[in-house]
Amino acid sequence: MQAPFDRDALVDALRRLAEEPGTRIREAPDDDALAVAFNALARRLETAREGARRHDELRHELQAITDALLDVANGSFASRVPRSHSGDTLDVLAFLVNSTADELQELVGTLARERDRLESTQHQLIAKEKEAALGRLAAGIAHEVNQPLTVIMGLLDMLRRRSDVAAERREHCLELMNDATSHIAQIVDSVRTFGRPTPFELRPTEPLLPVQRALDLVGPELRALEISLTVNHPHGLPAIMANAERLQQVFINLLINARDALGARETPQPRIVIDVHGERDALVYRVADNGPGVDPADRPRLFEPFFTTKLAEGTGLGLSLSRGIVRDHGGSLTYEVGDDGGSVLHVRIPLPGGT
Amino acid sequence: MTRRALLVEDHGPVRQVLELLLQDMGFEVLSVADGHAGVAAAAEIEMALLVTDLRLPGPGGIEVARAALARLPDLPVLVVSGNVGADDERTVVELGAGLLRKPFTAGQLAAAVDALSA
Repeated sequence: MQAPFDRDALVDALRRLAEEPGTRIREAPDDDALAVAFNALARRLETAREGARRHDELRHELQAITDALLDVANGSFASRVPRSHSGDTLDVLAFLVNSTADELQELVGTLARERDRLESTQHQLIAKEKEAALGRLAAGIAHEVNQPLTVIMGLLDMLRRRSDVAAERREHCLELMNDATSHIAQIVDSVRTFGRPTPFELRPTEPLLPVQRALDLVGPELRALEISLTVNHPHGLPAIMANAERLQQVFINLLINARDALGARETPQPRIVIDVHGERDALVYRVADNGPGVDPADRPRLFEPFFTTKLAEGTGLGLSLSRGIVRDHGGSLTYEVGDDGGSVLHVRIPLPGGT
Repeated sequence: MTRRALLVEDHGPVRQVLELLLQDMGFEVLSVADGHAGVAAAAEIEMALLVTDLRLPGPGGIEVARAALARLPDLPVLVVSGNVGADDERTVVELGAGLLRKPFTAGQLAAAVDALSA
Protein backbone atom coordinates (compact mmCIF):
# COMPACT_ATOMS: atom_id res chain seq x y z
CA MET A 1 0.00 0.00 0.00
CA GLN A 2 1.46 3.30 -0.96
CA ALA A 3 1.83 6.06 1.65
CA PRO A 4 -0.62 8.94 1.28
CA PHE A 5 0.72 12.02 -0.46
CA ASP A 6 1.56 14.47 2.26
CA ARG A 7 2.18 18.19 2.49
CA ASP A 8 6.00 17.92 2.48
CA ALA A 9 5.90 15.76 -0.62
CA LEU A 10 3.57 18.33 -2.29
CA VAL A 11 5.94 21.21 -1.52
CA ASP A 12 8.82 19.16 -2.85
CA ALA A 13 6.81 18.28 -6.01
CA LEU A 14 5.86 21.98 -6.56
CA ARG A 15 9.50 22.98 -6.30
CA ARG A 16 10.43 20.37 -8.90
CA LEU A 17 7.54 21.52 -11.12
CA ALA A 18 8.93 25.06 -11.11
CA GLU A 19 12.18 23.64 -12.53
CA GLU A 20 10.82 20.94 -14.79
CA PRO A 21 7.37 21.27 -16.40
CA GLY A 22 7.16 17.50 -17.04
CA THR A 23 7.10 16.74 -13.31
CA ARG A 24 4.30 14.32 -12.32
CA ILE A 25 3.51 12.60 -9.04
CA ARG A 26 3.49 8.89 -9.72
CA GLU A 27 4.38 7.44 -6.33
CA ALA A 28 0.99 8.37 -4.72
CA PRO A 29 -2.11 6.08 -4.84
CA ASP A 30 -4.28 6.63 -7.94
CA ASP A 31 -7.13 8.04 -5.90
CA ASP A 32 -5.01 10.46 -3.93
CA ALA A 33 -6.92 13.70 -4.56
CA LEU A 34 -3.90 15.91 -3.93
CA ALA A 35 -1.71 13.97 -6.34
CA VAL A 36 -4.46 13.94 -8.99
CA ALA A 37 -4.96 17.70 -8.64
CA PHE A 38 -1.20 18.27 -8.79
CA ASN A 39 -0.84 16.21 -11.96
CA ALA A 40 -3.78 18.02 -13.60
CA LEU A 41 -2.21 21.39 -12.73
CA ALA A 42 1.18 20.22 -14.05
CA ARG A 43 -0.40 19.19 -17.41
CA ARG A 44 -2.15 22.60 -17.71
CA LEU A 45 1.06 24.36 -16.93
CA GLU A 46 2.89 22.36 -19.57
CA THR A 47 0.21 23.16 -22.18
CA ALA A 48 0.42 26.87 -21.29
CA ARG A 49 4.21 26.82 -21.63
CA GLU A 50 3.97 25.04 -24.98
CA GLY A 51 1.46 27.73 -26.05
CA ALA A 52 3.81 30.52 -25.00
CA ARG A 53 6.71 28.87 -26.82
CA ARG A 54 4.61 28.50 -29.97
CA HIS A 55 3.54 32.13 -29.61
CA ASP A 56 7.19 33.21 -29.48
CA GLU A 57 7.92 31.15 -32.57
CA LEU A 58 5.03 32.73 -34.48
CA ARG A 59 6.14 36.16 -33.37
CA HIS A 60 9.62 35.49 -34.78
CA GLU A 61 8.26 34.13 -38.03
CA LEU A 62 5.97 37.15 -38.39
CA GLN A 63 8.88 39.45 -37.63
CA ALA A 64 10.96 37.77 -40.33
CA ILE A 65 8.10 38.18 -42.82
CA THR A 66 7.63 41.84 -41.80
CA ASP A 67 11.37 42.50 -42.17
CA ALA A 68 11.41 40.90 -45.59
CA LEU A 69 8.37 42.92 -46.69
CA LEU A 70 9.98 46.12 -45.37
CA ASP A 71 13.11 45.34 -47.39
CA VAL A 72 10.97 44.85 -50.47
CA ALA A 73 9.15 48.12 -49.77
CA ASN A 74 12.54 49.84 -49.53
CA GLY A 75 13.59 48.45 -52.85
CA SER A 76 15.92 45.73 -51.63
CA PHE A 77 14.84 42.35 -52.90
CA ALA A 78 17.65 40.21 -51.51
CA SER A 79 16.09 39.14 -48.14
CA ARG A 80 14.26 35.82 -47.92
CA VAL A 81 12.08 34.53 -45.05
CA PRO A 82 13.24 31.18 -43.51
CA ARG A 83 10.61 28.53 -44.31
CA SER A 84 9.26 26.03 -41.74
CA HIS A 85 7.82 23.90 -44.61
CA SER A 86 4.98 23.03 -42.23
CA GLY A 87 2.39 24.18 -44.74
CA ASP A 88 0.68 26.37 -42.17
CA THR A 89 -0.60 29.87 -42.87
CA LEU A 90 2.69 31.56 -41.96
CA ASP A 91 4.70 29.12 -44.02
CA VAL A 92 2.45 29.84 -47.02
CA LEU A 93 2.84 33.56 -46.34
CA ALA A 94 6.64 33.14 -46.17
CA PHE A 95 6.54 31.22 -49.46
CA LEU A 96 4.52 34.00 -51.11
CA VAL A 97 6.83 36.73 -49.79
CA ASN A 98 9.90 34.82 -51.02
CA SER A 99 8.53 34.11 -54.47
CA THR A 100 7.37 37.74 -54.86
CA ALA A 101 10.85 38.91 -53.87
CA ASP A 102 12.33 36.43 -56.41
CA GLU A 103 10.17 37.82 -59.18
CA LEU A 104 10.87 41.41 -58.23
CA GLN A 105 14.59 40.74 -58.09
CA GLU A 106 14.50 39.23 -61.56
CA LEU A 107 12.41 42.13 -62.85
CA VAL A 108 14.82 44.66 -61.37
CA GLY A 109 17.72 42.84 -63.01
CA THR A 110 15.95 42.89 -66.37
CA LEU A 111 15.12 46.58 -65.98
CA ALA A 112 18.71 47.43 -65.05
CA ARG A 113 20.02 45.57 -68.09
CA GLU A 114 17.42 47.29 -70.30
CA ARG A 115 18.34 50.68 -68.83
CA ASP A 116 22.05 50.06 -69.47
CA ARG A 117 21.27 49.04 -73.03
CA LEU A 118 19.17 52.19 -73.57
CA GLU A 119 21.81 54.40 -71.98
CA SER A 120 24.47 52.96 -74.20
CA THR A 121 22.25 53.43 -77.29
CA GLN A 122 21.53 56.98 -76.20
CA HIS A 123 25.23 57.70 -75.75
CA GLN A 124 25.94 56.32 -79.19
CA LEU A 125 23.17 58.47 -80.68
CA ILE A 126 24.44 61.58 -78.90
CA ALA A 127 27.96 60.84 -80.07
CA LYS A 128 26.72 60.37 -83.65
CA GLU A 129 24.67 63.57 -83.52
CA LYS A 130 27.67 65.46 -82.11
CA GLU A 131 29.83 64.04 -84.85
CA ALA A 132 27.28 65.06 -87.49
CA ALA A 133 26.92 68.56 -85.99
CA LEU A 134 30.71 68.90 -85.91
CA GLY A 135 30.84 67.76 -89.52
CA ARG A 136 28.23 70.35 -90.52
CA LEU A 137 30.10 72.98 -88.52
CA ALA A 138 33.35 72.15 -90.29
CA ALA A 139 31.63 72.05 -93.70
CA GLY A 140 29.99 75.41 -92.92
CA ILE A 141 33.31 77.02 -92.00
CA ALA A 142 35.00 75.48 -95.03
CA HIS A 143 32.26 76.75 -97.35
CA GLU A 144 32.37 80.22 -95.81
CA VAL A 145 36.12 80.54 -95.98
CA ASN A 146 36.23 79.14 -99.52
CA GLN A 147 34.66 82.22 -101.09
CA PRO A 148 37.07 84.88 -99.81
CA LEU A 149 39.90 82.40 -100.28
CA THR A 150 38.93 82.13 -103.96
CA VAL A 151 39.18 85.91 -104.19
CA ILE A 152 42.62 86.02 -102.58
CA MET A 153 44.10 83.00 -104.35
CA GLY A 154 42.78 84.07 -107.76
CA LEU A 155 44.03 87.64 -107.55
CA LEU A 156 47.31 86.91 -105.81
CA ASP A 157 48.22 84.45 -108.54
CA MET A 158 47.26 86.92 -111.26
CA LEU A 159 49.24 89.78 -109.72
CA ARG A 160 52.27 87.55 -109.33
CA ARG A 161 52.16 86.34 -112.94
CA ARG A 162 51.52 89.73 -114.46
CA SER A 163 53.85 92.66 -113.93
CA ASP A 164 51.99 94.84 -116.40
CA VAL A 165 48.72 95.23 -114.45
CA ALA A 166 47.53 98.84 -114.63
CA ALA A 167 47.77 100.77 -111.35
CA GLU A 168 44.02 101.28 -111.09
CA ARG A 169 43.28 97.62 -111.73
CA ARG A 170 45.99 96.61 -109.29
CA GLU A 171 44.42 98.86 -106.64
CA HIS A 172 41.04 97.27 -107.28
CA CYS A 173 42.56 93.79 -106.87
CA LEU A 174 44.21 94.76 -103.59
CA GLU A 175 40.95 96.19 -102.32
CA LEU A 176 39.10 92.97 -103.13
CA MET A 177 41.81 90.94 -101.42
CA ASN A 178 41.70 93.21 -98.42
CA ASP A 179 37.94 92.82 -98.12
CA ALA A 180 38.29 89.06 -98.46
CA THR A 181 40.81 88.86 -95.63
CA SER A 182 38.48 90.98 -93.46
CA HIS A 183 35.68 88.58 -94.33
CA ILE A 184 37.79 85.60 -93.24
CA ALA A 185 38.71 87.44 -90.02
CA GLN A 186 35.01 88.08 -89.45
CA ILE A 187 34.19 84.39 -89.92
CA VAL A 188 36.93 83.41 -87.49
CA ASP A 189 35.61 85.98 -85.03
CA SER A 190 32.05 84.66 -85.38
CA VAL A 191 33.25 81.12 -84.75
CA ARG A 192 35.16 82.30 -81.69
CA THR A 193 32.17 84.25 -80.34
CA PHE A 194 30.03 81.26 -81.04
CA GLY A 195 32.29 78.88 -79.18
CA ARG A 196 32.86 81.16 -76.20
CA PRO A 197 30.06 83.70 -75.69
CA THR A 198 31.34 86.62 -73.66
CA PRO A 199 29.27 87.46 -70.57
CA PHE A 200 27.35 90.71 -70.55
CA GLU A 201 25.40 92.81 -68.10
CA LEU A 202 21.63 93.40 -68.17
CA ARG A 203 20.42 96.91 -67.33
CA PRO A 204 16.98 98.54 -67.27
CA THR A 205 16.51 99.42 -70.95
CA GLU A 206 13.91 101.37 -72.91
CA PRO A 207 12.39 98.52 -74.97
CA LEU A 208 12.35 100.32 -78.33
CA LEU A 209 16.00 101.38 -78.11
CA PRO A 210 17.54 98.16 -79.52
CA VAL A 211 15.06 98.20 -82.43
CA GLN A 212 15.74 101.87 -83.20
CA ARG A 213 19.50 101.38 -83.12
CA ALA A 214 19.21 98.40 -85.46
CA LEU A 215 17.04 100.47 -87.81
CA ASP A 216 19.58 103.32 -87.74
CA LEU A 217 22.11 100.89 -89.18
CA VAL A 218 20.03 98.73 -91.53
CA GLY A 219 17.14 101.13 -92.30
CA PRO A 220 18.85 103.17 -95.04
CA GLU A 221 19.71 100.02 -97.00
CA LEU A 222 16.15 98.67 -96.62
CA ARG A 223 14.72 101.95 -97.90
CA ALA A 224 17.19 101.95 -100.80
CA LEU A 225 15.84 98.50 -101.72
CA GLU A 226 12.31 100.00 -101.53
CA ILE A 227 11.36 97.69 -98.68
CA SER A 228 8.53 99.26 -96.68
CA LEU A 229 9.31 99.39 -92.99
CA THR A 230 6.76 99.79 -90.18
CA VAL A 231 7.20 99.72 -86.40
CA ASN A 232 3.98 99.44 -84.36
CA HIS A 233 4.00 99.83 -80.60
CA PRO A 234 1.67 101.09 -77.88
CA HIS A 235 2.76 104.00 -75.68
CA GLY A 236 4.19 103.42 -72.25
CA LEU A 237 5.86 100.07 -72.79
CA PRO A 238 7.60 98.88 -69.60
CA ALA A 239 11.40 98.89 -69.36
CA ILE A 240 13.14 95.56 -69.86
CA MET A 241 16.28 94.15 -68.30
CA ALA A 242 18.53 93.97 -71.32
CA ASN A 243 21.87 94.64 -72.91
CA ALA A 244 20.95 97.13 -75.65
CA GLU A 245 24.05 96.40 -77.79
CA ARG A 246 23.44 92.65 -77.81
CA LEU A 247 19.72 92.95 -78.41
CA GLN A 248 20.40 95.44 -81.19
CA GLN A 249 22.58 92.76 -82.83
CA VAL A 250 19.59 90.38 -82.72
CA PHE A 251 17.36 92.86 -84.54
CA ILE A 252 20.09 93.61 -87.09
CA ASN A 253 20.29 89.88 -87.80
CA LEU A 254 16.51 89.55 -88.09
CA LEU A 255 16.29 92.59 -90.40
CA ILE A 256 19.11 91.33 -92.61
CA ASN A 257 17.41 87.93 -92.84
CA ALA A 258 14.15 89.64 -93.78
CA ARG A 259 15.96 91.76 -96.36
CA ASP A 260 17.57 88.68 -97.92
CA ALA A 261 14.26 86.77 -97.90
CA LEU A 262 12.56 89.68 -99.68
CA GLY A 263 15.37 90.07 -102.20
CA ALA A 264 15.89 86.41 -103.04
CA ARG A 265 12.59 85.97 -104.90
CA GLU A 266 11.87 89.56 -105.81
CA THR A 267 8.75 89.86 -103.65
CA PRO A 268 6.28 92.45 -105.03
CA GLN A 269 5.69 95.30 -102.53
CA PRO A 270 8.24 93.98 -100.04
CA ARG A 271 7.63 94.97 -96.43
CA ILE A 272 8.90 94.36 -92.93
CA VAL A 273 6.61 94.99 -89.96
CA ILE A 274 7.87 95.11 -86.39
CA ASP A 275 5.17 94.89 -83.71
CA VAL A 276 6.17 95.45 -80.10
CA HIS A 277 3.71 94.71 -77.31
CA GLY A 278 3.68 93.83 -73.63
CA GLU A 279 2.23 90.58 -72.35
CA ARG A 280 1.60 89.51 -68.76
CA ASP A 281 5.18 88.47 -68.05
CA ALA A 282 7.13 89.40 -71.18
CA LEU A 283 7.75 91.99 -73.82
CA VAL A 284 7.26 90.56 -77.31
CA TYR A 285 8.88 91.79 -80.52
CA ARG A 286 7.30 90.35 -83.65
CA VAL A 287 9.42 90.80 -86.78
CA ALA A 288 7.45 89.82 -89.91
CA ASP A 289 8.28 89.98 -93.61
CA ASN A 290 6.12 89.16 -96.63
CA GLY A 291 8.83 87.11 -98.33
CA PRO A 292 8.52 83.45 -99.34
CA GLY A 293 9.02 82.10 -95.78
CA VAL A 294 11.32 79.24 -94.82
CA ASP A 295 10.87 75.89 -96.57
CA PRO A 296 9.17 73.50 -94.09
CA ALA A 297 12.06 71.05 -94.57
CA ASP A 298 14.56 73.69 -93.44
CA ARG A 299 12.63 74.87 -90.36
CA PRO A 300 13.91 72.28 -87.86
CA ARG A 301 17.52 73.32 -88.56
CA LEU A 302 16.86 77.06 -88.73
CA PHE A 303 18.59 77.82 -85.42
CA GLU A 304 21.44 75.38 -85.97
CA PRO A 305 24.91 76.94 -86.29
CA PHE A 306 26.17 77.20 -89.89
CA PHE A 307 22.80 76.23 -91.28
CA THR A 308 21.91 78.72 -93.99
CA THR A 309 19.30 79.00 -96.70
CA LYS A 310 21.24 81.86 -98.24
CA LEU A 311 23.32 80.63 -101.12
CA ALA A 312 26.36 82.80 -101.04
CA GLU A 313 26.41 85.45 -98.36
CA GLY A 314 25.10 83.74 -95.25
CA THR A 315 27.36 82.52 -92.47
CA GLY A 316 24.55 80.44 -91.00
CA LEU A 317 25.37 81.89 -87.60
CA GLY A 318 22.90 84.82 -87.38
CA LEU A 319 19.87 83.03 -85.96
CA SER A 320 21.94 80.68 -83.85
CA LEU A 321 23.85 83.56 -82.23
CA SER A 322 20.64 85.62 -81.91
CA ARG A 323 18.87 82.81 -80.09
CA GLY A 324 21.87 82.56 -77.76
CA ILE A 325 21.70 86.30 -77.01
CA VAL A 326 17.92 86.23 -76.38
CA ARG A 327 18.32 83.19 -74.13
CA ASP A 328 21.01 85.04 -72.19
CA HIS A 329 18.23 87.57 -71.49
CA GLY A 330 16.11 84.69 -70.14
CA GLY A 331 13.90 84.94 -73.21
CA SER A 332 13.11 82.97 -76.35
CA LEU A 333 13.46 83.38 -80.12
CA THR A 334 11.02 81.37 -82.23
CA TYR A 335 9.96 81.08 -85.85
CA GLU A 336 6.48 80.84 -87.29
CA VAL A 337 4.87 81.25 -90.68
CA GLY A 338 2.84 84.43 -91.13
CA ASP A 339 -0.68 84.56 -92.60
CA ASP A 340 0.80 85.74 -95.90
CA GLY A 341 3.33 82.86 -95.95
CA GLY A 342 6.22 85.12 -94.90
CA SER A 343 8.53 84.60 -91.95
CA VAL A 344 7.62 85.81 -88.45
CA LEU A 345 10.23 85.81 -85.70
CA HIS A 346 9.18 86.30 -82.10
CA VAL A 347 11.61 87.70 -79.58
CA ARG A 348 10.26 87.34 -76.02
CA ILE A 349 12.10 89.13 -73.25
CA PRO A 350 10.78 88.44 -69.72
CA LEU A 351 9.66 91.48 -67.75
CA PRO A 352 11.22 91.96 -64.31
CA GLY A 353 8.68 90.43 -61.92
CA GLY A 354 5.95 90.43 -64.60
CA THR A 355 3.36 93.19 -64.99
CA MET B 1 37.37 89.89 -132.52
CA THR B 2 36.91 89.78 -128.76
CA ARG B 3 35.58 86.54 -127.39
CA ARG B 4 32.68 86.89 -125.03
CA ALA B 5 32.27 84.93 -121.77
CA LEU B 6 29.04 84.64 -119.80
CA LEU B 7 29.71 84.54 -116.06
CA VAL B 8 27.02 83.44 -113.57
CA GLU B 9 28.09 83.85 -109.92
CA ASP B 10 26.02 85.09 -106.99
CA HIS B 11 28.86 85.85 -104.59
CA GLY B 12 29.77 89.49 -105.33
CA PRO B 13 33.52 89.48 -104.63
CA VAL B 14 34.08 86.12 -106.34
CA ARG B 15 32.14 87.43 -109.36
CA GLN B 16 34.38 90.48 -109.53
CA VAL B 17 37.51 88.34 -109.32
CA LEU B 18 36.30 86.00 -112.06
CA GLU B 19 35.50 89.04 -114.20
CA LEU B 20 39.04 90.36 -113.72
CA LEU B 21 40.66 87.00 -114.41
CA LEU B 22 38.56 86.29 -117.50
CA GLN B 23 39.22 89.80 -118.83
CA ASP B 24 42.87 89.14 -118.19
CA MET B 25 42.54 86.03 -120.36
CA GLY B 26 41.17 88.19 -123.16
CA PHE B 27 37.45 87.72 -122.70
CA GLU B 28 34.77 90.34 -122.79
CA VAL B 29 32.73 89.36 -119.74
CA LEU B 30 28.98 89.58 -119.30
CA SER B 31 28.17 88.71 -115.71
CA VAL B 32 24.89 87.98 -113.94
CA ALA B 33 24.23 87.15 -110.29
CA ASP B 34 21.48 84.52 -110.22
CA GLY B 35 20.13 81.46 -111.99
CA HIS B 36 17.14 83.14 -113.61
CA ALA B 37 19.28 85.80 -115.28
CA GLY B 38 21.83 83.08 -116.09
CA VAL B 39 19.33 80.85 -117.92
CA ALA B 40 17.87 83.85 -119.76
CA ALA B 41 21.31 85.07 -120.88
CA ALA B 42 22.45 81.53 -121.78
CA ALA B 43 19.48 81.12 -124.10
CA GLU B 44 20.10 84.42 -125.84
CA ILE B 45 23.59 85.80 -126.09
CA GLU B 46 26.47 84.80 -128.33
CA MET B 47 29.43 83.59 -126.32
CA ALA B 48 32.67 81.66 -126.54
CA LEU B 49 32.66 80.48 -122.91
CA LEU B 50 30.25 79.93 -120.03
CA VAL B 51 31.54 80.03 -116.45
CA THR B 52 28.90 79.35 -113.83
CA ASP B 53 28.72 78.70 -110.13
CA LEU B 54 26.97 75.43 -109.22
CA ARG B 55 24.65 76.74 -106.50
CA LEU B 56 22.73 79.87 -107.37
CA PRO B 57 19.58 81.62 -106.27
CA GLY B 58 16.86 80.27 -108.59
CA PRO B 59 17.95 77.66 -111.15
CA GLY B 60 21.42 76.23 -110.43
CA GLY B 61 24.53 76.14 -112.61
CA ILE B 62 23.51 72.80 -114.18
CA GLU B 63 20.31 74.36 -115.55
CA VAL B 64 22.25 77.36 -116.86
CA ALA B 65 24.70 75.02 -118.58
CA ARG B 66 21.85 72.97 -120.12
CA ALA B 67 20.18 76.13 -121.42
CA ALA B 68 23.42 77.26 -123.06
CA LEU B 69 24.35 73.83 -124.47
CA ALA B 70 20.87 73.33 -125.93
CA ARG B 71 21.59 76.24 -128.27
CA LEU B 72 25.38 76.02 -128.53
CA PRO B 73 26.29 72.30 -128.22
CA ASP B 74 30.04 72.93 -128.64
CA LEU B 75 30.26 75.74 -126.10
CA PRO B 76 33.05 75.31 -123.52
CA VAL B 77 31.35 75.30 -120.11
CA LEU B 78 33.17 75.56 -116.80
CA VAL B 79 31.31 74.93 -113.53
CA VAL B 80 32.97 76.37 -110.42
CA SER B 81 31.94 75.43 -106.89
CA GLY B 82 33.25 75.04 -103.39
CA ASN B 83 30.70 72.38 -102.58
CA VAL B 84 30.34 69.63 -105.17
CA GLY B 85 28.36 66.46 -104.48
CA ALA B 86 28.99 63.16 -106.30
CA ASP B 87 25.71 63.57 -108.23
CA ASP B 88 26.64 67.08 -109.34
CA GLU B 89 30.05 65.91 -110.46
CA ARG B 90 28.51 63.11 -112.56
CA THR B 91 26.04 65.51 -114.18
CA VAL B 92 28.79 68.00 -114.98
CA VAL B 93 30.85 65.25 -116.63
CA GLU B 94 27.79 63.99 -118.57
CA LEU B 95 27.23 67.49 -119.92
CA GLY B 96 30.82 67.52 -121.15
CA ALA B 97 31.55 70.52 -118.95
CA GLY B 98 34.64 71.20 -116.85
CA LEU B 99 34.62 71.38 -113.08
CA LEU B 100 36.83 73.68 -111.01
CA ARG B 101 36.72 73.57 -107.24
CA LYS B 102 36.94 76.75 -105.18
CA PRO B 103 39.33 78.08 -104.09
CA PHE B 104 41.45 78.20 -107.24
CA THR B 105 44.33 80.28 -108.53
CA ALA B 106 44.37 82.38 -111.70
CA GLY B 107 46.65 79.75 -113.24
CA GLN B 108 44.23 76.91 -112.44
CA LEU B 109 41.33 78.87 -113.95
CA ALA B 110 43.32 79.59 -117.12
CA ALA B 111 44.38 75.92 -117.39
CA ALA B 112 40.76 74.75 -116.94
CA VAL B 113 39.51 77.15 -119.63
CA ASP B 114 42.34 76.18 -122.01
CA ALA B 115 41.58 72.48 -121.50
CA LEU B 116 37.95 73.08 -122.50
CA SER B 117 38.81 75.16 -125.55
CA ALA B 118 41.47 72.77 -126.84
